[in-house]
Amino acid sequence: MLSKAAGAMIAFSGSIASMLFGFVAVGIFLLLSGRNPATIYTGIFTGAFGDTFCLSETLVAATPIMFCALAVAIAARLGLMNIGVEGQLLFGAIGSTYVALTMPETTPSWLMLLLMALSACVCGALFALIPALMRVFMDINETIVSLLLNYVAALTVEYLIHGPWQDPTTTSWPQTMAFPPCAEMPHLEGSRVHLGLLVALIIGFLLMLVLHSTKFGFKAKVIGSNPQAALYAKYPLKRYLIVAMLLSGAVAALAGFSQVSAIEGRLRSGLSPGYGYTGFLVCFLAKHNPITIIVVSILLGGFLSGADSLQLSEKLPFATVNILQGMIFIFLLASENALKSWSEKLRLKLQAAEAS
Amino acid sequence: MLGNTALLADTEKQSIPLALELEFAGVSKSFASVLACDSIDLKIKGGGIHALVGENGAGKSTLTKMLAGFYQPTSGSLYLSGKEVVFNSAADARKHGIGMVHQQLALVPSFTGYENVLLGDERLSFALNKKVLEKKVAAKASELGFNLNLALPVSAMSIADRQKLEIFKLLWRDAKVLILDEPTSQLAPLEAEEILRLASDLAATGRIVILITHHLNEVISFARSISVLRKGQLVANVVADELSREELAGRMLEFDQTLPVKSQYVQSDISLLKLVDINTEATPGRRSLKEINLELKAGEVVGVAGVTGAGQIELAEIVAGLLKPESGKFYFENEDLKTLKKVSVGYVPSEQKQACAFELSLASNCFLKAVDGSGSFGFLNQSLLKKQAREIISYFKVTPALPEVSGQALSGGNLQRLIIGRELKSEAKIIVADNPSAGLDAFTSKRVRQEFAAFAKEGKTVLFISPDVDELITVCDRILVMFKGKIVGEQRAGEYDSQALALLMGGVENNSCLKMKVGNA
Repeated sequence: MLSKAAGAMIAFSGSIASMLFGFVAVGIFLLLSGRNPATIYTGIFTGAFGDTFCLSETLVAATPIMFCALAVAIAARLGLMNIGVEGQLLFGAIGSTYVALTMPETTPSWLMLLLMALSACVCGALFALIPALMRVFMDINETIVSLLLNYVAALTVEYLIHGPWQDPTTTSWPQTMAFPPCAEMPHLEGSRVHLGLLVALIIGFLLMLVLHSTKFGFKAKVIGSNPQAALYAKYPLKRYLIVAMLLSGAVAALAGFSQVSAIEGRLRSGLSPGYGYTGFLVCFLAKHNPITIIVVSILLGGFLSGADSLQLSEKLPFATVNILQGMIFIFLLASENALKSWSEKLRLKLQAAEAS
Repeated sequence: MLGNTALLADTEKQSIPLALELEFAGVSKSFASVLACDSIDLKIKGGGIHALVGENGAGKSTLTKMLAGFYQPTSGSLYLSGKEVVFNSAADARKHGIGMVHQQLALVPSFTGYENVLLGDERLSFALNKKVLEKKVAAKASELGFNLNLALPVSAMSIADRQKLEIFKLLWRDAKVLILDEPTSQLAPLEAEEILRLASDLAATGRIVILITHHLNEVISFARSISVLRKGQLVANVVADELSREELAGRMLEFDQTLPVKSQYVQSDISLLKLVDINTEATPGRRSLKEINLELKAGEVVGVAGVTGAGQIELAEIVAGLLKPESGKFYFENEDLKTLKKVSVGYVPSEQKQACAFELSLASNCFLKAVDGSGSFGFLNQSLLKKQAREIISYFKVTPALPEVSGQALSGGNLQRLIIGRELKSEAKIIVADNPSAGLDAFTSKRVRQEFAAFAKEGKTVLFISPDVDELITVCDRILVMFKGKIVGEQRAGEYDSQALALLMGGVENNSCLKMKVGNA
């Protein structure tokens, strides 16, 4: 048998290669605009992992990405492309904001946070139910529906913060009132790293367990691999697709909950600089594996927080890192087919070498 | 059809050199550590069908796929009319006039016959004049003796017509070497005969036609030369006329091919499943069934004969609990049931992709259906499932016998063994098998029939669907004949008459069918 390490290297060769290509391609643009890519990349790296403060900021950025990527992975396991995690994140934020603003300020913190999380999950799940039902009962592509619903979610947030939920004390800022202290998640001493990270990690490990060791995970895998065989084996296909989208929406919503509760302390626009889309990229770079998702989320969270500091030191627009992400995704999609035949050949060669 | 041969020979002489000869010189192919073809030396000449026979995994498909450019030989070379050729891709092979019709047909169902023929033809210019092209295609089809309605979409064509269309598609691209991979495994006897007759007409014009088949009768009646592969090696290469049928059978296969016809019908009183007045409506891809009445009793193997698309798949899915009828009643062990969804029924469908998730491991495929019964609190009992998987894999000697290997690593025949083994080992009292021997070698398909018979003897029952009447009469206690969604006849063991069954399959009142039968005799 092929050694596990070599097998994993081949499996992730596409992800690693597309990241390198992404850096090279963006590097060329930077060179053309008269910048030194080496300085900038070192800047991003030190900005991300340079010292304990940078590292903590990286973990802060990685948390919502992790939730979103895990949410994408749940749906992807059944062959569903849920690109609507961005919208589900926003609806999660709306759900927790409602609870934070309506519950009395004297509510014990644990109860407040629990209710906020529950409300977020329900809102995110219901928002994900729309593409799920359209897919299952009308055979409408869930990728397109969920993508378009992202705009609906973003505009719903805008409506709420400009309208009914706007902070009455300041009419110029489109944002809600600040949450009461009991609605704030506990932080790690002296940093912005919050409880959400721990929750995301637990969900990652739980997901791994569910996918690999339970009947639900097994059936989900069969449905994702060949729905026809699932029907043949009399699995409740429709129910599974709906449940998976509900779970996916709920997990994505936790990203929104942890952002408003731990980072922003209120609902405002610009809550997510595209965490949902970054999560989608992470999920594909990690090949839908929950444990790998945790690692890759931290890496891409590093890009985001590193680029944040570059904005100040190098006067580089934040969009640079969005371009980098976009390039990586393009190369990843291109590599899927190009690398398949190459990696298959390599695998056979290695197997042959080990057999002889 | 015979009249066309002379015409063909005249018109095609210029385009096909008479000296068309194909040679495999020491060709080997290995996949990782498995040697699929072991230094094959073989010459094939045009002018008559060359049959390629052997068990599952003997290397027939690998050998022909190297010729068609899908695989590249590990060592050895190919010669076409004396010149060495190297094919790096299927497109390369096509340029040299080599074409292959795969077991799983590669047509676009919603396109018409014309569109499928023209699809991907690299010689066409950017701007298409559909009418002119269609006229050209139609002219070529009638010139070559193809009796096809090319204006129909493929989804409306019979399986036999689709098979013909695939062959014609290759000829439209001026193929000189045709490889047919089990073209008749899905066809009823009369349809099969027509395809093979067409193939030998084409070979008679000087083309090379390589026929991969498991049917000994086809080889004996239609092939001019025969080669036998066994475990990747060429063990015999003979001219068909040199040997008598019996000698040939002896040389070709190591075992006794002749099977006794089942001669006794044993009445049983224990009813397992009863269908009363079942009707279904036609849906895309599924025809309607009319007034199906069927009782399956403990201990019997019930055969279902019919031409492709006579309603066998629909009947199978009804019994397997996958298709909901419009009206009718079910009785399972004399209990009136609304639906068969909850009843455990083993099902071997005619299409493997319906019963397997190819990307998943063999072990996963083994416990596809058994997963609910294993483990508690929603968790999988991995060790129990793995143990069951190993049993299923060793039951019919699935190779490679590695539970963790992906289903894609298996040949069609080995997947079929896995599916049949899985269904036999399940707790089901009823098994529906739709053409289970398709893609299996003669030895394994005989073993499968024996296992089904033994399964029924345990007080269970098998609904055995096959287009091959000869196969049915060796294993079934009674045979039902389906025609256009209805059960039109039944014969019991002891009174089997394969001629009469063949007529029923074509619809008895169908005169043209009768005439054809007389004409052939």
